Amino acid sequence: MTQPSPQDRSAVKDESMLRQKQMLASHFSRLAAAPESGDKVVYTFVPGNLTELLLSFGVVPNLPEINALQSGMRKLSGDFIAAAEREGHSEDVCTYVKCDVGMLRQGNVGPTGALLPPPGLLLLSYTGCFTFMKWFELLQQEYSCPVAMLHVPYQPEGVITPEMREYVVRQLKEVVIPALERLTGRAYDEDALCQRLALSAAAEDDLVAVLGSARHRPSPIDAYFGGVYYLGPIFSAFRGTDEGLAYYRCLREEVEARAARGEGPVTPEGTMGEERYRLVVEGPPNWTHFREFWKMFHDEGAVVVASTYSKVGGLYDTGFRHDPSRPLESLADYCLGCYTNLGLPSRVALIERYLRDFSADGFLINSVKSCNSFSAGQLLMLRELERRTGLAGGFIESDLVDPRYFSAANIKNRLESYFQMLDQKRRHARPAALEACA
Amino acid sequence: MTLVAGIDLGSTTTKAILMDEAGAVVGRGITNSRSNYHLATRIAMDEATINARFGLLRRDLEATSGLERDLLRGAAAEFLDRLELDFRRAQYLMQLDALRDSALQEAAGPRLAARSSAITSRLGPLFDEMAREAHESDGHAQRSQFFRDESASRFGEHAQRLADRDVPYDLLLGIFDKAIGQVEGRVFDRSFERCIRSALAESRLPVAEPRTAGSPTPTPRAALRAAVSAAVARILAADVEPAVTIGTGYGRQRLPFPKEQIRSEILCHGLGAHSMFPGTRTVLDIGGQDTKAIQVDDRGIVTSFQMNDRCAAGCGRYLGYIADEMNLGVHELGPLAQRSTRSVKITSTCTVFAGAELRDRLTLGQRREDILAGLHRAMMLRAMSLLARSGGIEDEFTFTGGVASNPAAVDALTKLVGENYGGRRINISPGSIYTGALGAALFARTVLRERRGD
Amino acid sequence: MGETILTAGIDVGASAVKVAIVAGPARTGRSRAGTRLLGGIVERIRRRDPRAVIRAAWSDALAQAQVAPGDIAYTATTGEGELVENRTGHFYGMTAHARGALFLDPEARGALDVGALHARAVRIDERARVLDYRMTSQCASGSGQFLENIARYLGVTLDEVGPLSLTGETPEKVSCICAVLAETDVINMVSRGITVQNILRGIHESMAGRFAKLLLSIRVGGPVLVTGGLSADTGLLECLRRGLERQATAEVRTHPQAVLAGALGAALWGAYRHELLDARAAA
Repeated sequence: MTQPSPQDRSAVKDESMLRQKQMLASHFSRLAAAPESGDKVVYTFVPGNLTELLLSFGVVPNLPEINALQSGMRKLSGDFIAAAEREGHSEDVCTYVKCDVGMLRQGNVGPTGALLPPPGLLLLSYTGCFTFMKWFELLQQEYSCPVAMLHVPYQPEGVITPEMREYVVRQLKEVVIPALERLTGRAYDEDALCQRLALSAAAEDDLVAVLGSARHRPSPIDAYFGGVYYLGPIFSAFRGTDEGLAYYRCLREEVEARAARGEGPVTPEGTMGEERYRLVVEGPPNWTHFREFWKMFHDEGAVVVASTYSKVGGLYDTGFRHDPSRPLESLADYCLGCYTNLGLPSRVALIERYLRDFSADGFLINSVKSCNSFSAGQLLMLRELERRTGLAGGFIESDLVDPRYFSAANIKNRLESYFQMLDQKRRHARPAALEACA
Repeated sequence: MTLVAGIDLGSTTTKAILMDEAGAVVGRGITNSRSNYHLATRIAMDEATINARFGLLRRDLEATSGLERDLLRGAAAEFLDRLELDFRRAQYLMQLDALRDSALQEAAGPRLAARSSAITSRLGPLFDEMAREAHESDGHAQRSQFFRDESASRFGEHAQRLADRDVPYDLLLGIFDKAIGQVEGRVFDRSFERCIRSALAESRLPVAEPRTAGSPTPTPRAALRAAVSAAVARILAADVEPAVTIGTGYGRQRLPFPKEQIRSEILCHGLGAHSMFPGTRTVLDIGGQDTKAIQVDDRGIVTSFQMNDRCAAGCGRYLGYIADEMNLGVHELGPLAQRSTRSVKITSTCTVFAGAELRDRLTLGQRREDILAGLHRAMMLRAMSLLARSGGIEDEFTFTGGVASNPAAVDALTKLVGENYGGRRINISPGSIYTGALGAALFARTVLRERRGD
Repeated sequence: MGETILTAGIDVGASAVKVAIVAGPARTGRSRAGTRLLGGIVERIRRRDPRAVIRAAWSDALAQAQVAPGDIAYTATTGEGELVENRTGHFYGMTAHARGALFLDPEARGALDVGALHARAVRIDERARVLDYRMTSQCASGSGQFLENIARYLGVTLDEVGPLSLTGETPEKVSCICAVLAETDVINMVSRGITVQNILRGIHESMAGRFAKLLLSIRVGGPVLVTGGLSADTGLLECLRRGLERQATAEVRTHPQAVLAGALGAALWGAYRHELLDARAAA
C-alpha cells in the first residue's frame, strides 16, 4: 500500500468517520431486518430521546427526524416534499414532516436504501414542539399502532423544579414503561437500564471534551457543520452502547491530536486554512445544501466554535450526565434540559456564555421559518445578545429540507456582508463589553 | 490625477463612480444591466468616464484665460449643454443604426422569409421616423436614459400605427426583442473622442455673439468653438483610468472582478449613505429585486442589517412592471401617484402579479393615481417591516437606491416613518441610485491609500 | 338543413385576447353537436389598450368568419369580460375552458389551462361538468408571463421556445419560488454560459413539475387537454408528458386550436344559454 500524497490527505477519512458510517449502516440494516428478526421498532424523536430505556427493552429506535435530514443531504427530500404537498400538506408545514410523509408514500425506503419497518410504538419523547404531536398523529393513522406521549414541561426560567422532575418520572413509570412492556412482553429491568446509563455518562464526558476543544486557537473542530456528525451516535441509537462509547473515545483522541498539532477542522473542502472568524451559531443547519453552505464558511475562513444545534438532543454543558444512581430522574432531567425546551432568557444566557468561553468574534442565526421551536423569538435574542456582548449578530434564513427555500445567492450575500462587517469592526475597534471581562 | 472607481452591478441597472484621491466624485455612469456583466460594467464605466470628461471640460474652460468667467457663464455654458445633448444624440443614433441593421437582418432571415418584403416595407419608415424624432428631440422628452427602454417605447408606438393583418404588431415587437438583444450585446465605439468630434462639428453655436464683460467688441462665435476644441484636446490627453476598482452587486454569482476587489453591497450602501449624510444611522435601500435595512455607526460601519429573501415583492422591479403595464416611464409613476386624493388599499405586492392587480382595479373603476398611491404605500409597508426587524429607526435615516428618486415612494415612507418612529430626519440625495457605487469607490480609495502605505 | 345559430366567445386574458365565432344547428341542448368553428383570432395585448385590442380582434374574427355583427345571436365573454362593450353574457373561465376542451377533444377528462399569470387544472366528465378544480398559488414563477419575460430576455420568440427546449440535453434547474428572483437565476445562467436550450428546458421542467402536481391533486383519470397560451409550446408539453408518464397517470394532449378553448367554450355556453332564454321568452 502506498502512502497518500499530501494533497490527498483531506480525502482520507478519519477513523471516527468510518466507524460512524459502519454504525449507521448496521443500524439501518437491523431496522430493515426487523420484520424477519422479530425486533420491535419504536419511532421516537431526537430531543429528549430515551434511548437507554428503549435499548434496555431490546427495542430498536427509528428517528424520523434523522431520516428526513438524511434525505435532505441525499437530495431526495425535494421529491418527498412534493409528494406530501400533492396530498394536501401546505407549503408552510414543517418540512421534516412533509419529507417523512412523502418518503412513506414512496415506499418508506430509508436513507441508506434499506426499507424502514413499521413501528410497534410511537414514543413521543418531547412535546415542546407541537408539530411533533401532529406528526405522530399522522403516523398513527398510517400504522394504527399505539402512541406513548411523554408530556415534558417547558422550562421558562431555565430551572428544573422537583415537581417537574417528579411529573416526568411518574409518566415514565405510568405511561412509557408500561407501553414498552406491552410491546416487548418483557418486564422493566432497572439494572439493564443502569448499565446503559453508565456507558452514556462516559461517552458524554468524551463528547463534552470534543466540543470543548473548540476553545483552542485554531479550533480543531467545527462545532456546527462538523458538530452534526459528532452528534449522530449520541442523539440517535448509540447512547448507552459499547459502540457509542468506543466512537467517542476514538473521536476525542483524534480531536485532541489535531489540537496538539495546531490543526484546524477537517471540512469537505480539506483542512481549514487560516482561522479568520470564530463564530457561535444558533439554529439548525440547512440539510439540502449542507456542503455548499459549509463551503461558504470555509471559503471565508469562518469556523463555528459553538452551536446551539449540537444541544438539540440534550445539553451537557451545564454539568448534566446520565446517572445510574438515579436512573429515571436523570432521564427526566435529560428530557427537560434539551435546548429547545429552554426559555428565551436561558437560550440567550447560553449563547452569551459560548461567546465568551470560546472567544468568538460574533454569532449567526440561521432562521428556519417552518421550525417555530427554534425560530420564534430569534430576532429578540439577536438584539439582546448584541446589547450584552457588543458583538455583531448576523441573520440568515433557509430551511431544513426543502431545497426551494435555500437561496444560495441570498445567503452568500448575507454571509459575505456579515464577514466583511466583522472585518470592518475588527479594524476599527474591539467591543468594549468583552474587553472589560478579558 | 489618480482616480479610483466603484461599480455597483444591480439587477436592473449598473452604476459606476469615478472618484479622485480627495474623495470627490468626478464622474458617474449608469446603464441597464444585462446578462453580460463585463459589458454592463464596461458601459457604466464608459459613461462615468464621459461624464468625468465633460466635468473636466467645464473646469478646464473655467480656468482658461482666453475665455472670461462671464462669457463662460453665458454662451459657453449654453454651448457645452448643447454639446452634451448632441453627444448623447450621436450615441443614440449610432445604436439606432445598429438596431435597424439587426431588425432588417432578422426580417430577411429564414424565420420570416415568406413575409420578408412586407416586413421590410414597414421597418424602413418606422426607423426613419425614429431617427427623425431623435434628430428633433431636445433630449428632454426621453422616457428613459437607457437605449433599450427609450427605443422600445418609440418602436412600440410606431409599430402599433404601422401594423396590420399582414404584419401584425406582435410580429414587429418580436423582431425588436431579437434586435435589441443583439445591439445590447455589441460593443460600440462609444468613446468620448468619437462622439465629441461629431458633436463639436454639429452643435449649433449660440445665436448672439457672446460678449465678454468689459470688452468693447464681441468675441467671435468661431473663437468659442476654437476654445472649446482646444479644451477638448487637452481633456482627451488626461488620464481617467482608475488605479483601483472595487465592485459590488447582489445575486451575482459572477461579478467580473477578482474576489479581493469585491465588497458586499450592504457595506457599500452603508458607507455610501454615511459619506453623503454623515449623521446617518439607518439606511433603507430599495433596489431592483431586494430591499435592505441597514444600521450604521458614526463611521459608516455596518452594525446590523436585514434583507428580503425568497420573494422580491415590493422591490424596484415592481414599479418597473407597473410602468410597463401603464406604458409609462418609471419616473412618471411617482408624480402621477402624488395627484391621488384617495389612496386605494392594496395588500399584494407580488411583482409579477402587479399588472393583473392594476388591471383589476382599473376595471373596478378606480382611478389610476389612487391605485398608484396605494401601490406605493404597500411597497413601503413591506420596507417598514424590514426596518423594524433590523432594529428600527432611532436617529437620522437615509433612503437610497433607485426608488428613492420616486417622490410618491418618499411621501409614503415619510408618512410611515412618522407614524411609527415619530419625527426623524430623512435624507434623500438626488444621486441616491449611486449610493452603492459611491461606497465601493470609497472602499477603492482606502485600498489605494493602503497600497501607498498611508 | 335546419336552422343555424351563430354565437361568439371572447376570452380576455392578461396577455392576449381570444375570439371564437361558432355556427351550429339550433336546439341541440348542452351538447351543441354539429357545431363548427367559423373564425378564431388570438391577439396579444403587449402594452396596448386592451379595449382597442378587443375591438381589433373582434373585427378580424368577423371578417374571418365572413359574418356581420348583427348575425351573432349571443356574444359570451370569459376572463376579464367587463372590458368587452358588446357582450351579452359572461361565463367563468373554469367552465368555459372545460367546455372548450371537450369540444376540441371529446375524450378529454381534464383540462390544464396555462395562462399568463396562473395555471388552472380542471377535472371534467363527458358532459363538461367540472368535478374538481385547482389553480397555482399566489406566486407567478410557473406562469406564462414568466416564460415570456425570459424568452424576451433571451431574444427568443415564443414560437421558438418549444423547439429550442426540446434540444436541451442537460436542463439547468430553476429552483427559485419567486419569478423575479428566478429571472435573476436565469440571468446568472446566461453569464455562466448555460445554453438557451438548457435554460428553457430547465424552466419547462420546473413548470411541468408544478402542473403535474396540480393535475395529480385533482386526480384526473383520463386524457388531459392542455389549453391556453402555452398549449402550443412543444417543449412544455414534452416535459409535462414525461412528468405525468413517470407518475403513470394521465395522457397529455393538445389541439391546434387549444389556445382558443376559453373563447370556444364561452361561445358554446352562449349558444346554450341563448336557446334557454329564447325558450323562456316563448313560454
